[in-house]
Amino acid sequence: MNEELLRVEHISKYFAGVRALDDVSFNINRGEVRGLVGENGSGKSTMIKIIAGVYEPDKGDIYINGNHYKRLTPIISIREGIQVIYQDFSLFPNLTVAENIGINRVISKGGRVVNWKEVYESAKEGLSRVGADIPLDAITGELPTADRQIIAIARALLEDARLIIMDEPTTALTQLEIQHLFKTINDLKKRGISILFVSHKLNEVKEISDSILIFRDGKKVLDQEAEELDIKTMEYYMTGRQIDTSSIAYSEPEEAPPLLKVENLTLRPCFSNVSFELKSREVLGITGLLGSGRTELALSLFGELPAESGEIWLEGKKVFIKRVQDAMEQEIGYVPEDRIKEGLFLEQSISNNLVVTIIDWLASKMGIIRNQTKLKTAEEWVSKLEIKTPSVENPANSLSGGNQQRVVLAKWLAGNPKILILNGPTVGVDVGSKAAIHELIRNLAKQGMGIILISDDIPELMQTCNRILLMRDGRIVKEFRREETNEEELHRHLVAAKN
Amino acid sequence: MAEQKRGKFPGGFRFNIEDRVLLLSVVLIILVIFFGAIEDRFLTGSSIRSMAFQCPEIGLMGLGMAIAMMIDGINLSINDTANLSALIAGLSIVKLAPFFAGHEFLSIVIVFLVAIATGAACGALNGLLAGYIGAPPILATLATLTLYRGISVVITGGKTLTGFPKELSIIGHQVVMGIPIPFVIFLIVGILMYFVLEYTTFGFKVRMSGTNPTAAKFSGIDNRSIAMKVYILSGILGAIAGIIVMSRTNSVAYEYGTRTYILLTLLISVLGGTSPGFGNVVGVILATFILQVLSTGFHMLLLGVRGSSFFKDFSWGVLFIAILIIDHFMRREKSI
Repeated sequence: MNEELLRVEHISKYFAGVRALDDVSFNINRGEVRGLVGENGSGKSTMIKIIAGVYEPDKGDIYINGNHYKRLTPIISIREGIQVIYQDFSLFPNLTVAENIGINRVISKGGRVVNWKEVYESAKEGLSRVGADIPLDAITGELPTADRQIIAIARALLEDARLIIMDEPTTALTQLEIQHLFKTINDLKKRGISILFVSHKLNEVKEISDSILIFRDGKKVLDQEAEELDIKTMEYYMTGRQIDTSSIAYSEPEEAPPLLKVENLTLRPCFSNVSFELKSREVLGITGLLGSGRTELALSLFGELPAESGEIWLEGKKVFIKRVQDAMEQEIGYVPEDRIKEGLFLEQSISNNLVVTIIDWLASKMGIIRNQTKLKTAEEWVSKLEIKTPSVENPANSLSGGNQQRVVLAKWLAGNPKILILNGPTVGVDVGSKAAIHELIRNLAKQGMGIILISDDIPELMQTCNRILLMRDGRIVKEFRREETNEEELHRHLVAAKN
Repeated sequence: MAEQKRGKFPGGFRFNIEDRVLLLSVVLIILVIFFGAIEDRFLTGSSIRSMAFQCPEIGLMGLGMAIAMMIDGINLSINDTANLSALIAGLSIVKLAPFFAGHEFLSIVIVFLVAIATGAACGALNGLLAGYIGAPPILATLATLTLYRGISVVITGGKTLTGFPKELSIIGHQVVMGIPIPFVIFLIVGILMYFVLEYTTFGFKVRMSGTNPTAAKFSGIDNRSIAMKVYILSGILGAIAGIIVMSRTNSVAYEYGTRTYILLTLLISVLGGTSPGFGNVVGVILATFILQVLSTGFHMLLLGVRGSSFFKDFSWGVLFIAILIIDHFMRREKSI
C-alpha cells in the first residue's frame, strides 16, 4: 500500500525574482489522501501548477511512478495520471453531462465524426467509476454544484487518473454535499487513487486527509499525520500566529424595540411566511442548505428580488423595498455571496471600488466628483480595514482573496448602514483574514449596527452570532441562541434539513 | 500567486490609458513626419485646414461610439442618427424659411435644437431597447440603423436635400482665429466629454456599470438608466456630427457616409483605447487625427494613381489589425 506515486524534491520557483516556492519536498503514496493547506500566496497554487505541468520549476526534481523529470508539461502530467480539478471544475455549462464526461476520450482518439454512442458509453463508464447516477442528458449548467463536481471527477477518472488534485473542492458545497464528496474520496482511495486535497477549511482537511502538508510563504512548514494534528496547531503553522477563539467578546443586542421586523415575507417558490426581528447591536445568523431560500430572502430585503407579500418594518416604520435603491435609502447594505461577480469591479482601482456606493455623497450637488475627497475616503478605509496594497489606485484584481473581501466590506461600511446583510462573507478567504472579518463583524454590531449573517460555516456562526435561524424549504424552521447550542447540534440540524 | 506578485510590484509593466495616449501620440507624430517628408503639400496651411474641416464629423461620431462601448454596448445606428437628425433639421428649416425671413440666425438655432432633439430621440430608442428591454446592443442598434435609414429615405423620397440659408454654411466653412469652426466644436465637445467622463458621478457610474454590471447593480447603480443616458448622449453626438456634415456639404442625404462611417467610428473608438468600463477622450481624438492623416496623406501621395481611393481603406484596415496585435502583446506583457 505504501508504494510511492509522486515525489518532489527541493522544488523552488521564482516569479520575476520573487520566491513563490522555496526548497519544497514531499511525497504522495498510492491510495493516500494528502491535505495541503496554506494562506493565499503561500505557494499552494504554484505547487499544483508545477505538478500539473503548467509551470516549470526553477530548481528541483519530480519523480512520478519512478520516472524522473526536471520539468513536466501538461501532456506528460496527464499521461502519468495526474488530473487537476480546479475550483470552477472547467466544465462546459451549456453541454450535457454525457458530452462533458465522454467527449475528451472521443476527441483524443481523433477522427472527424463524433460517435455519439461512444460518447454516451464513456460517460456512463466514467460515472460508474465514481458510483454516481446523474442523467446523461441533463444540461450541466443546470445541475447542482455537487453534481458538477462529480462530473469533473468522473471525467478525471476516465483519463485513468492516479492522482487527483482538488483545488478548494468544498467552497461551493453545502455540508451534506461535502459529506458525499468525502465518501467519494474514500471510495477512490480504496481503489488506490491518491488525492491531493487543497483547501482553506482546516476542519475538512483534517477530517478527510491521511496526512497534512502546510505551506507558508513558499516553504513547507509542516508535514504530519492528520491524526496527530489539531486545528489550533494547523492554524498556528498556517498563519504563524495563534488565533484565540476562546475569549471572543460578542456584541450584546440592545434591549429596545427591534431595528428590523419582517412579517410573513413571501416570495414563492423561494420562501414563504418568513418572520423575524433584528435588534440593534445584534448579529443574526441565517443558515440553511443551498436552495433553502436563504440567499433569496437576503436579496429580497435588499430589493433585488422584491417579495410578493409580507411586511418589512424599519425602526417601527413600515417600508417598501422594491429596488436596490430603496434598500440603500433605508440604509441597508448587502455584501454579496460571490465577491468576484457581484461584489467587485476587478479591473477598476481599489479607490473606485471603495467609493462606489457613496459616490453621490462625495460629489457636489452638480454631480462633480471631488477627487481629493474620494482618495482620502478610500485611503481611510484601506487603513481602517488593513487592506494590504501599495496604492489605492492599483486595480482590485491585484489584491488577494482576503483583501478583496475587505474591499467589498469596506464599500458597504463606507455608507454607514444601519443594517448590513452579509452573505457568505468569508468563503474562500484565508484563516487570518477570516478571523479579522469576524472581529470586524462583532465590532460593527457593538457600534450599533444590526447584522444579518448568512452562512453555512458553523464555526463562523458560532463565533459571531447572537441568534441563528435555520431555514428549510423557504421557511424558518428553528431558532437557536448561541449560548444554548453548540457546533455539533447546529451541524446535525443543518444536515438533517435536507429531508 | 501571480496576482500577489503584481500587487507587490506596482512598478512592473502595466498597460493603462496613459500608455495608450503616448502610443497614439508617437504614431501620429511618425505619420505626420513621414507624410511631411515625402509630400510637400502635406504640411501646408491649406492641407492642415482641410483636415481640420474634415475630421470633426467622424471624430464626434467616434466619441458617440466610444461612450456606448464603455458600457459594453455599441451604437451601430450612429451614422444614420446623424443623417436623420440633419434631415429632419434640414426639412424644418426649409419649411420654416418663410416664417424666418430676415431672422436666418434664429433659424440656425432652431436647426440645432431640432437636430439635437432628433438625435436624443434616436438615442432614447436605442437606450430603451438595449437598456430597458435588454436586447443585445449590437442587434438593437442594427435594427434602429435600418429603421432610421428607412425613415430618412421615406421623408426625402431618397433625394438629397439642398437649398439651405447661406447662414447655415458658416459652421462648415468659416474659421475662428484661423481654426475651422467644426474643429472648434469638436474640441469643445471633446473637453466637455472628458470632463463628464472623468469628473462626474455619471461618468463614474458609466465606468463601473461597464466594468461589471452585476456588481454595479448590487452597489445601487441603475444600469438601465445609465444605458439610457449613454445612448441619448451618443445620439446627440451623432446629431452634432450631422449638423456639421449638413453645413459643410450644404446638403443632406440619407446615404451620407453609410458605406464606411460605422467601421471608421468603431476603429476610432477601439484605436482610442475604449473597452468596457474604460475609455479616454484624448485617445479617441488622437485616433481621429491619425485616421485623417492617413486618409489625406495617402490621397495626396497617390493622386492620379488608379485605385488610390481604395488604398485609404487598405491603410485603415492595416492600422486596425496592427493595433489589435499591439494590444494583444501589451496585454500579454501585463499578465506575465
